[in-house]
Amino acid sequence: MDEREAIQDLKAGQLRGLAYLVRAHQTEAMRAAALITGDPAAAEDLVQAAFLRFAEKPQAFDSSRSFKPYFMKMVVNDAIKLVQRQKPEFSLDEKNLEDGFDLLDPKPLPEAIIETRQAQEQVRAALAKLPPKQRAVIVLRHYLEFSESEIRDMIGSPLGTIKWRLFSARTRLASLLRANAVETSLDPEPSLANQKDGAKNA
Amino acid sequence: MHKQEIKTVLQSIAQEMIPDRRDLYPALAAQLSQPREHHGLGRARRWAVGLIFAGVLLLALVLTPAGQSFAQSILRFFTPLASKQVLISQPDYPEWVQAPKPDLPAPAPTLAPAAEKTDAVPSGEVKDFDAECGGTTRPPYCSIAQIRALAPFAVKAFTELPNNFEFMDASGNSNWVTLHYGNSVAGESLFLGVHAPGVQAASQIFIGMDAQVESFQIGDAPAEYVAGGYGPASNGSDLEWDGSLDRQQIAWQDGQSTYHLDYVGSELSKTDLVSLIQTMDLSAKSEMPAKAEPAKNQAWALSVSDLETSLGRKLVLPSSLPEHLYFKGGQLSEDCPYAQVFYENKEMFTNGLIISQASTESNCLPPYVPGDGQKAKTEKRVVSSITETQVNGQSAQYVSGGWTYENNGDLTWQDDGWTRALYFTKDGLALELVYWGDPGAIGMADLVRIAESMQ
Repeated sequence: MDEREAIQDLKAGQLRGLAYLVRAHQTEAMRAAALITGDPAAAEDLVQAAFLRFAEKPQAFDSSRSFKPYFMKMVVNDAIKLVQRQKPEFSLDEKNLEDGFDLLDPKPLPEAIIETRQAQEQVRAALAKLPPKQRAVIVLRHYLEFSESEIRDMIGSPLGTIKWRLFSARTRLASLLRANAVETSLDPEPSLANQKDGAKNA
Repeated sequence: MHKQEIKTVLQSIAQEMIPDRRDLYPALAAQLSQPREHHGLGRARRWAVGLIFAGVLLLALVLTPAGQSFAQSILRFFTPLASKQVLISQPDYPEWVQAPKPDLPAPAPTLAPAAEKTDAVPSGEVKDFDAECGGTTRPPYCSIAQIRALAPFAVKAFTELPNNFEFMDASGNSNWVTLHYGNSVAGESLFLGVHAPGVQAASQIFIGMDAQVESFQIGDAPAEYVAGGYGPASNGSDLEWDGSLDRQQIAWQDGQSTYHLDYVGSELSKTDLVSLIQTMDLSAKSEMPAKAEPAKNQAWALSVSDLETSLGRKLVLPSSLPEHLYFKGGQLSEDCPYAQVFYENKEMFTNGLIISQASTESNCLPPYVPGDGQKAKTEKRVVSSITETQVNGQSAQYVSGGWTYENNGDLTWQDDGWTRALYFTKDGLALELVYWGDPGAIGMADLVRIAESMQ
C-alpha cells in the first residue's frame, strides 16, 4: 500500500488507510509538535486529534496533493494555538525587528556547542522562549525541512513574511544562546545562504 | 547558523521527547470504534444538531409575532443567550425516504429579471427554493445566478476571494440566502448569509452569554464582530460557547438587508474579512462559477449515465434509502469492469454507503471467503467470519468489521461495528453494499432493506 492508496481507502471508509497514514507520519508529527509545545504528552494528544479530524473529513483532502504538508500544517497550527492558549503573548516587539528586516542569517551557532547535551538543553530552552509562530517556522524549516515556498503555501503568509519570521526566529535563538554563556564560541561571520532566496518583500 | 547543525540538534531534542516506539494507531482505532457520543464524529453530529437548534430558534423569531416584535426591539445583530450551555438532544435516526433518481439535470433557474430586483420588502411571492435549490440543509445546491433568480430580494456577493477559496454552492429560502465559499486546502468555510429586507428577526444571531461583541463601521454601515463559537461542552454532551474557537462572524446592514458573514477557519483575520466584504456587489463578476466539476478520474466523479455508458448496461440502484444518504457520485474499477456508487452521509462526510456491482460472469466481485490474516494477505475477498442472511428470499452474506495492519505487518480482524457489508447476487449481477459509519446507525436489517429495494 502507498500513501495514495491509503487515502483512497480512507475515503472509501477503510480504516486500514488510516493505519498506514498514522504509522507513516505519527513520529515526525509528534516530534514537530513536541518541539513547538515543549510538551511530549500534549504533542501526542494534538497529533492524535489531528488524525481523528482528518479521519472525519478525508473527502476534504485533495488527493492530487501530498499528504505530509497538509497534515503537518494542521499539526503545526494546532501546536501554535496550544502554546498561545497556555502562555501570554510573547513580549518581544516584533515590529521593531521587522524594521530591521534583513535576509542575512544572524550569527551562526557554533558547531562545538550543539554536539553537547548542554547545548541541546540550551537550544531547547531557547526554543521555548521564542514566540509560538517563530518556533513553528524553525521547526518547519530546520526540522521538517520544508522549503520557504512550501512553508508559505502551508501557512498562507507572503514569502517575505516567512523569511522575516525565520530571520527573527534565528536572530532571537542566537541571541538567547549567546545569553546562555556561549558568546565566546559564536562565529562572528554571518551566512549569506538566504540571499539568493529573493528580495526583501518577495 | 548552519542548517544541518540546527537540524541535528533539533532531531536529538525531538527524539528524546518522542521515542520511536510510540504508536497512536491502536488508540485512534479504539476511539473511532466507540459509540458516537465519545469520538469526533459524534461531536460533528452535535455540531450539526446545534446548528439545527440555532436554526429553530431563528425560525421561531422570524415566524411568530412575538418573536418579530422582540427582535425588532433589539438593535444588536448578535444576541447573547442567557445560558452558557446549549442543551441538545439526538434526533431519531435513520428516517427512510424514496431514493431520488441520482442523475436529474441541474434545476433550471426561475426567471426573474435582475433589473426588477430591489431591496424592498418582498411582495409575498414564494418560489419553491426547496425543490430548486435544496432548501438550507440538503442538495441540490444552486449557483449564485440561480439563487439570485429565485430570491425576491437583492443578493450581493464577493467579487474577489482569498487564496485557495472558491464558491461552493448557494441555498436558501424566501427569507434568507446562504452563499458557501470553501477552502478545500485548509478545510475552511465562509458562509455569507443575506436576509430579506424586513426580516429583521432573521438577523438575530445567537452567541454565548460571555461572547465579546465589537461594534464598528463598514463604510457607513453599522456592523458587529464576534470571535468564537459553540463547541462541545465539558460535560461531553452539550454545546458551550468558546471564544477561542476558529470562527469569526460579522453582521452588518446593507440597505434594508442584513448580511452575516460566518467564517470557520484560522487563515483570515478580521481585517481580511472586512476587505472581503468591501468587494461585494450585484455584478456578474460576483457570480463566480460554481466549483469546477471534478475530473472524471477523481474519486466519485462519474454520474450514473457515465457509468452506464462505460458498462453498456443499466445500473441497479436502491429505491429506498435512509434520509441522510444522498448520491455523491460513482467510479469504475481500473482492472475489472465493476462500478461503484457512493451515497454520502450529508451530515458526516466520512460516513456513507458504497454499492459495487459487476456481472457474475466477470468474477470481478466474487463472494466473500472465510479465512485468517495470513490468507487475507495473499487472497482477495477473505473475511474473518460471514453471517448468512437473505435478500428477497435469496442467500446473501453479511460481514461486520475489517482487517487492520499490526506493527509487525500482520493483519488482524477488527470487528468494531464501524464497517459492515452485504453481498448478494441478482439477475446475473454480483452486488456488494458496504456501509461505513457510526455503529448502530445502519445494521444488517437496514442493508437488507436497501438491497431488497434495488432495481
